Amino acid sequence: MTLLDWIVLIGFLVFVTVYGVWKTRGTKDINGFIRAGRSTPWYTIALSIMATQASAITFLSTPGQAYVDGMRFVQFYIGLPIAMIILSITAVPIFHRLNIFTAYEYLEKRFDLKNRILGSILFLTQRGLAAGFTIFAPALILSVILGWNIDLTVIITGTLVVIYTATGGSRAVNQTHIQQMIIITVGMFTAFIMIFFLLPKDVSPLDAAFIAGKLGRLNAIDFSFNLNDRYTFWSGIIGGTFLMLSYFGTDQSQVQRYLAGSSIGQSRLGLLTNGLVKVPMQFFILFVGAMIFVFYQFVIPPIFFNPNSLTSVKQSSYADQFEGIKHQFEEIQIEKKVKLNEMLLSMNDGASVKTDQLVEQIKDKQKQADILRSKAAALITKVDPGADSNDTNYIFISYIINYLPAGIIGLILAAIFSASMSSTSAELNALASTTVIDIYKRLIRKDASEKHYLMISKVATILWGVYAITFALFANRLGSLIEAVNILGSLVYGTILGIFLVAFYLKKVKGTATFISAIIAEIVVLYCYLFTTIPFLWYNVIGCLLLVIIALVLNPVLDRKTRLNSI
Amino acid sequence: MNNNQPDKDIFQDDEKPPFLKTWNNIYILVFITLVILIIFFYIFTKVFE
Repeated sequence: MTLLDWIVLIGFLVFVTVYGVWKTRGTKDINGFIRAGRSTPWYTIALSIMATQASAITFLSTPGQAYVDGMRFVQFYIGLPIAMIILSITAVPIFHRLNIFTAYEYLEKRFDLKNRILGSILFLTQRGLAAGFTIFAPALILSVILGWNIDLTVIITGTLVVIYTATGGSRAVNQTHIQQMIIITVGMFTAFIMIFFLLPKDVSPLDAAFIAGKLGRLNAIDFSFNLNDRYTFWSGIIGGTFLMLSYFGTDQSQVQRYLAGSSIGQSRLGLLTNGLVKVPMQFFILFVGAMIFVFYQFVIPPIFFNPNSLTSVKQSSYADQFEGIKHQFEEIQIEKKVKLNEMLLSMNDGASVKTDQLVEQIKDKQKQADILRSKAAALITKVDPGADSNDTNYIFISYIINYLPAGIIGLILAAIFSASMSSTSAELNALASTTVIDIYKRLIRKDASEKHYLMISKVATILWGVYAITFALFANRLGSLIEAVNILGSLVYGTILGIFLVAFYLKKVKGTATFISAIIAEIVVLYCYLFTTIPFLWYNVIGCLLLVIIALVLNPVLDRKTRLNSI
Repeated sequence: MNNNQPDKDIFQDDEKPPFLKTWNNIYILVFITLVILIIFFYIFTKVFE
């Protein structure tokens, strides 16, 4: 990194922090701190919703996913617009009319205290662990690629977020999200445009798309129904809709964004704008990854993108074996490049038969290269069984650091940090809100002054920030727990969504039946996770539907029992 | 147990959307956009396959 990159990166981070603090320094009550005074316009809500969902891992991992597996990951988001419509019809008007501060507050208004506490605890557990991971994951990747000190990266990122989130609360989170989304968008477009400057001059953007498509990287949609396939149209439209309903309808870090809307209409427009923009945005990020794949057809890529893993295997007893695989891989890449150039020439000459033959040969070379990459990954896990055999998170950042000019590297790193900080700030804000409103104000101290609750909200933000930073500092030593944290969301989202769906639509079902059904549904989801191979997207469907069905069956039984007891 | 249940009219909103006259029209717009995107993805996949 050059001095110019450091100036761009540090300049932006300092600007966002100072702007967040300065712009929201007048926050004087809990309504301002948690709901931004209910004065947020639709465009800020839309940007804030997108910034909350887009973590640094989204930008580091998604292009890498397209590089390795093609664009089919876009199907994961197909259910999102449907979820936005459903939430605009149901959750938005209910939450606004009840004048609530957290999603779980509604559960007490509709059911009883135990459902509210269950919802809050499920959220605090899942989101509390995830907040640490949101800071840790990008710090790990950047430390591996840039050689930065991981602890220092975690502490600096976490502290900057805590400073403006504890000062201005939701208002600061929303305001900084605007700047962060702007830099993220500019960063991704710059990375995209740069690819076409770096490709050989005779390769047009259409040629690049043709190459990516022929090598299986533009597979945006797959209508086959396969329960074991994680990303298909069906898992996206069914599982994805349930997941997005859960995330946007019951996760306080998202609910808080549209609770801040100045009216029902503004909140709806914010959600629906997200529904319109999110799928094309993910498509674009994946397309960037597919184009990076094409770029690496003309420049020999590393056989494995995580440099730490490469160093480990080169220092092990498998070094010779690894070098052999690497040599074969590089030879195949060179042969493939020759064939690609021949194919482009024959395409320009209009020789379609020859082009088809060359396409088949190139596909064959790609298969061989993929097999060799798998062999290299297998060796890496042989050397260190705890090592991650998946290098998708390192592909995009390797391209940025090694091939982009000074200044632009700083800009894209600022975008990655923005994504990390935007998710973390929303998480800390939501964790503090739920702790204060659903636990402290409801169970510990009911009748304190506005000033007291504002002070406690700020303290809670700082404490959750310290907790997240501490978790991130120790995450390196927690090994497989990280994977568990990642999956935890899908384990609890279905149950939480089920509770809310019963609350919204099944007017006759009461609190106790819902509560017992939630416990049973959660046990079944945990069973599916531990003892079956069902992909995680389906856990949301299973947990939610099971809860609704059990609640419908259990409610009349409990009603009858209550009536008999009263006689 | 609290009886603060959502009534049917709680889903309604008096505020008009800024365009297309009703919220239902806006929902249809979002849904149609999704259908168009899915068709685009299908054509995109097939063309470059």
